[in-house]
Order: sequence, then C-alpha cells, then structure tokens
Amino acid sequence: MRRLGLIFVAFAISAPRVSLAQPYQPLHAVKPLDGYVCMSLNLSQEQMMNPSVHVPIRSAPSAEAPVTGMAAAIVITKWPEEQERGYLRVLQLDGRLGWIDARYLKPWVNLGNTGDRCFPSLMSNGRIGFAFHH
Amino acid sequence: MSASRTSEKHASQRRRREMHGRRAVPWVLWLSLACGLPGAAAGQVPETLNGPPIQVTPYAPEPGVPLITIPLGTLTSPSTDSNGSGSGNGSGSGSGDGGSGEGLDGGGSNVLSTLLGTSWGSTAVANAEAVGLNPTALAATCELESGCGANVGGGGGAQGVFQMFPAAYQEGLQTALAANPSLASQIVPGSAGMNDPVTEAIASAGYLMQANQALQAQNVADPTIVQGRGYYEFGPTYGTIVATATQSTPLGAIVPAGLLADNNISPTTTVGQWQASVAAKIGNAASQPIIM
Repeated sequence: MRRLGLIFVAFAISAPRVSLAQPYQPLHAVKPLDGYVCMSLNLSQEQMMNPSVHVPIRSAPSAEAPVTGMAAAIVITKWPEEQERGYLRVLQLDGRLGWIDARYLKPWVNLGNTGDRCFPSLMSNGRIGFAFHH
Repeated sequence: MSASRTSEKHASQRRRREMHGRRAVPWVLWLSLACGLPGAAAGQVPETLNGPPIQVTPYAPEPGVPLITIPLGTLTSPSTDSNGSGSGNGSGSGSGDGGSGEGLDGGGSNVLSTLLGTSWGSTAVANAEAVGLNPTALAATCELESGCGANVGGGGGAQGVFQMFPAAYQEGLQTALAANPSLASQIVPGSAGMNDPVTEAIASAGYLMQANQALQAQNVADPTIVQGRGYYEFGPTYGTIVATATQSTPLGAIVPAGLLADNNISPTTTVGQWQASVAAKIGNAASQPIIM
C-alpha cells in the first residue's frame, strides 16, 4: 500500500504537464482530398442566415435514416457523384460519410467571382477543411 | 533453544524487510523520474512575458476605488513560425503561407472591463457564466457590435447593444433558457427584450453557446472567440466555412457580397486578415475558448 502511494507521488511529480493554453496555429491546406468536390447548399440567402433552418446529413439515403450532422454552406460531395434514391453521398467534416437530399445541393459557386476554386482538403490541424485557389 | 532460534529467524526476516523497504523507495523514484522527466523536458519551451500577467478583474468594483486598467503582457516564444506571427499592440501582422499569415496575438484585452463598466455588465457576466459561456466571449461580442452601447446603430434590422436579428435573438434565448431556466425571470418579454441589454445579453450568450456547439459538430476543436465571431457575424452556414478555410481564402469567395458590405468588409479581405482585424479590436480575447 505504502509502495503504491510512493509510486503515485513519484509519477505525479515527474509526469509531463498538460498545457491548458493552446497557441493559435494559422490554418493551411496540406493536400487536396481526391475523389471529392465542393457543392453549395441550394437555399435562399434568408434561409442561409436563419439559425433555425438546417439541412440534415443522414446515415443512409432515406428521409427516415438517423441524422448524423447538419450541412454548412459548402458541402463536400463524392466525385464521381454517388446518388441513391435522390440522395447524394457526402463527406462530413468529421470524416464520416453521409447522405444529403440532392435537392438541397447545387454546384459550388464562388460568391464573389474572385476566380478561386474550392478544394476539399486535409488541413494543417489534421482535420478536413477547404482551400480556395486558382 | 527452539524459542531463541525462532526469535533469531524473526529478527532476520524483519531486517530483510527493512532493507527491501529502504531499497524500494529509490528504485521507484528512479523509474518514474526516468519515464516522466524526458517527456516533461521535451514539452517545455522557454517563454518570456513582455508585460504583467493576467489581472483579476473584480465584477463589482469597490466604491471609491478608481478603475485602473493594466495592459496585459503576451507570451513570446523563441520558436519561429513559418505561417506568420502576431506582433504589435492591438494588431497582428506577419507573412508566410502564401503571403497571408496573420497572428491573433493582438496584445492586451480590455473587453471584459468595458462590459463591466456598463450598469448592466456584471449581471450580463453572471448570466453568461450561468449558461457555461466564457464571459469574455460575450464581452468581445458587445465590444465589436456596439462598443458595449456606445455606437448602437439601427441598420438592416439588427437591434440593441448586441445587434441581433430577430431569428438569432429567439434562437439564442431558447438555447440560454434550455441551459439555465432560472434566467427566465430576468427576461423582458416580446420584441422589447431586444433593446433591453440584460435580456439581449442572455440571448447573445445563448447564441454564442449555439455557435460553439455548431462548430464542434463540424469538427472544429475547442472553438475560439474569433471562430465564434464568424458564426455571429456571417451566420451559421457561412460562419462554419470561415472557421474551416485556409488563412489565404478571400472572404468574397465564401460569404455573400451583400453580407460583407453590411459589415464593411471588402470581398478581397482574406480569412486571416479578417481574423487579425477582429483580434486588433478585442486583443488576446480572440484566441480564448468560447466556453468556460
């Protein structure tokens, strides 16, 4: 018992400290995700700004399938397109695959005609994100 | 004879136990130190503080005591960051990553002091904490939207100190009350609540909680106040994209021009530049987490 106590104390003293403050790391793209393209949500500007309007991502191509997430303004879609029963196969930002009713999606549009194209990418933080360039 | 031998045997066993006991302490210590210390040393980076540390700000100032604001120091590390680093007091700037790296280390943050300087600030802070929000996130929103009441505009349907639109206001209230139903007693009912700072602060706190949840659901780890700011300023669907786009992305490519114009932002402004401009106004609050 005493030995266990000593082990605990010794490890408590010597274990590396976990830093609570995370320094901010600017995000940059590491590599594009092959086999995926960007699409936009097919909603009006008013709907896009309304926090109570959600486009669900489902676990299967069916309105009854469980909702696994909500779509953001840009959706990562499998390319070539995988469509089943009116649903498109999409990649969620947490890496899971899902399905969105195809009526809610349209080809990605550069809202400001800046000439940049959208590339689903693996980001410097190890997560999925977006890169925009020519 | 037999008793004497037994006694000698017991004494011998006791001595052996004592010796083993004495040996056990250094052995355990050496093992644990050998395992732990290299990791601890590797994780340490020398840092210097270029000013005073974070000051404790009292929620209710003592009567008669003048308000003293001490600019906070910022930690600087000797390591170099190829993606840009913050510099200066109040605005970050840098270069790298395609010429668009910006830092968020914008110097000291006094936004909480600004909020607490209002007649309703301490109530708003207490209510923010009651729903689990970092009160600095609420203070930053208040500062950015209206200077905590100094510049309340009436443009485009946004109202009050926190400049909320009706839909966001309702959503925020619902989220805050779901988190802490006891706040209902402080709410001014109807649309008049949007112009009551305490009520709108509750709604704003709820909306920021919602921003945190939505960003986490989109795999944004530990959303920061500047990321929540994107949700608040550009709405839920665009705000998430701003939080997950590269620093060099022009906002004009991902946020509608009209929405940017409403917020006096040029379409050519990059995500990194916009984040730096937010940090310039709210200081180091920008990189703090949204929730406590």
